[in-house]
Formats: sequence, structure tokens, C-alpha cells
Amino acid sequence: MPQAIKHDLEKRDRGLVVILPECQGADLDTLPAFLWKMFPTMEARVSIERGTPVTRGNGLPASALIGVDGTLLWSGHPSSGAKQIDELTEVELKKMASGWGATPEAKKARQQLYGKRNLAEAKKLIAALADDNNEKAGLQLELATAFAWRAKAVQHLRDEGRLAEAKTMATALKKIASGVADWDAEVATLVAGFEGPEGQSEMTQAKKVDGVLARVRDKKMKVADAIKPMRAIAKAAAGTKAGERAEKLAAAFEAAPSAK
Amino acid sequence: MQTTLFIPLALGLALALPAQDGAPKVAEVGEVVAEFSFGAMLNGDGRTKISEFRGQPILLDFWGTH
Repeated sequence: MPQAIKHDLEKRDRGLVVILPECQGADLDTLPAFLWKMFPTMEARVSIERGTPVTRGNGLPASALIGVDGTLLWSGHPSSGAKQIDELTEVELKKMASGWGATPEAKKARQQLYGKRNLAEAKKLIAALADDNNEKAGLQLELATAFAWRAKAVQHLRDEGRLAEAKTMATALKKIASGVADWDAEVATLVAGFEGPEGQSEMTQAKKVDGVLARVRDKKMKVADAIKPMRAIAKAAAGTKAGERAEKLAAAFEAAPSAK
Repeated sequence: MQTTLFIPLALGLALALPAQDGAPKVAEVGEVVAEFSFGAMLNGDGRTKISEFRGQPILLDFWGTH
């Protein structure tokens, strides 16, 4: 797990996704307290393992690397495969940046879609593919998925009270999907959700939550010392998603063994 | 027996058949991982299906709290 957390910190900005499935029966309600105790600087995704369909070594820990096209590239004990994981990850990140495909046109479309994250440009390139291009249907599906998850993410992040991240996602989506009639109205609605005095007031509180978290993650504040400021934000932002988030975080900090 | 077809990850064309019990087929190294959902996540952005991460490499690290 420490190695995976290191990968997340070092390579998430380049596109690596690190997911940490917990396999011993923990639940998402109690897990935050454990994580704030053991890994306060960690920001990687954590899930509850429920049958990930990849082969892997016996016992824990175990790792698996899935490539940009969905192929299982490596699996086994993380310490025995550290070098391979590093090398394969680098190959995949380069593949993500340059695109891939059976034809140069498909490769270029994926370069825009995944490397440059320019959905509008990718849409144009995919539309221009010949109808008998074997990858056209697959690319259309990939494009639709790439737009849909981003739009869904804006709402998800809002619902979690992570307003700054939600706004960043909405603003980015507006930029990368601009000029596509099918998407413009939906994106405009997402962006408009952050305007108005109420939205701005909640954003102010949400940013205060992010500020406290950043201090904990940068080791400038102990988890135990973050309880009081987080409770104060929860009180000030009561009745909002940002307030709910602050309250949950304060409760997790309080339950973290180090805080007692 | 109910048969479910999983939307492919590779090329958007290949089909992966589920195992007999309805669970997706377990991928070996070199095989495309069948569609599945991680369920709810901490620190996520709302993506839960493996197909929603297409275009990015994914490092899974299975661990336990005990």
C-alpha cells in the first residue's frame, strides 16, 4: 500500500488512477477514521473489494495494473513487481499521451480524447472516420463515456461538498466540450450551478474545508488539531453539502485513534 | 441461465462472457478486464465502472485493515 500511495502522489497528475480495494470487511463509514490515522497524507481512491475480476497472487497485499485499453498488464505481490509496475505504468502514460489504435486516424482521435483531453476535437476526428473504420463505433462509445463521467463527476463532487473540485471539473468540461451542440446546454447548466450568492457562500466554506485538509496532508497540522476548525466550519456551513462534509471529516478525525 | 454480455473495453467490440454464476470472467494477464463496478469509493469522482476509467492506467492495490 505505501508503494501505491507513492505512485498516486507522483503520477496522478499525469493520469495514473490508483484504487485501493479493502479486502477484510471494512465499511466505508468507519474506514475514513482508520485512513486518517494510518495514512493522513493519502488521497488515493479507496473502495470495498467485492470481486474485482482480475487474477492476482494469493493473500495480501496484491496489486494489479490495467492498461489504458483495459488489458490486465501485470498482477502479483507488489514488492516483487515494483520495477515492472514502474516500467509498465510509464509505457501506459506515454500511450495515453500519444493515443493508440489500429489506424493513424484512430490513434489521433484517442490522443485528443485521452492525451489532450479535448473532447470537442476528438468528436470531430471520430465523426470524420470512415464508416467502415472498425474502431469508429468503439470510439463513439468511448467519447460518450468520457463526457458522461465528467458531467456525472460535477454532480458527485457537489453532493460530497467538494465544491472547488466540482467547479474546476465543470469549468474544464466547458472548455474541452465547447462548441458541441449536443453538450453545450448540459455543460451550461452545470457551470451555472456555482453562480449566485448562496453558491458563492457555500464555496467559501468549502474552500475552508479544503484549506484545513491541505494543512493536515502537508503535515502542517495534526489530525487531532483539525477537529476544532472543522467543527467551526461545519457550524458556519450548517445545512449545506460543504457543512455536511466538514461534519463528517470532524467525526472521522475524532474517531481516528491518534486523536484520542 | 441468464447470460449477460459485458460491454467491451478493447476496441469497443470484443465481448466477454460472464462465468457460470453471473460474475464477470476473471482476467488473466494479457486479457481485457470485463466490465464491472467497484461500488462506492472514498476520494473518488463518481466513476465506479471500470469502463469509465478507460484511457488511463489503473493501479489496483488490494489491502486489509487487519
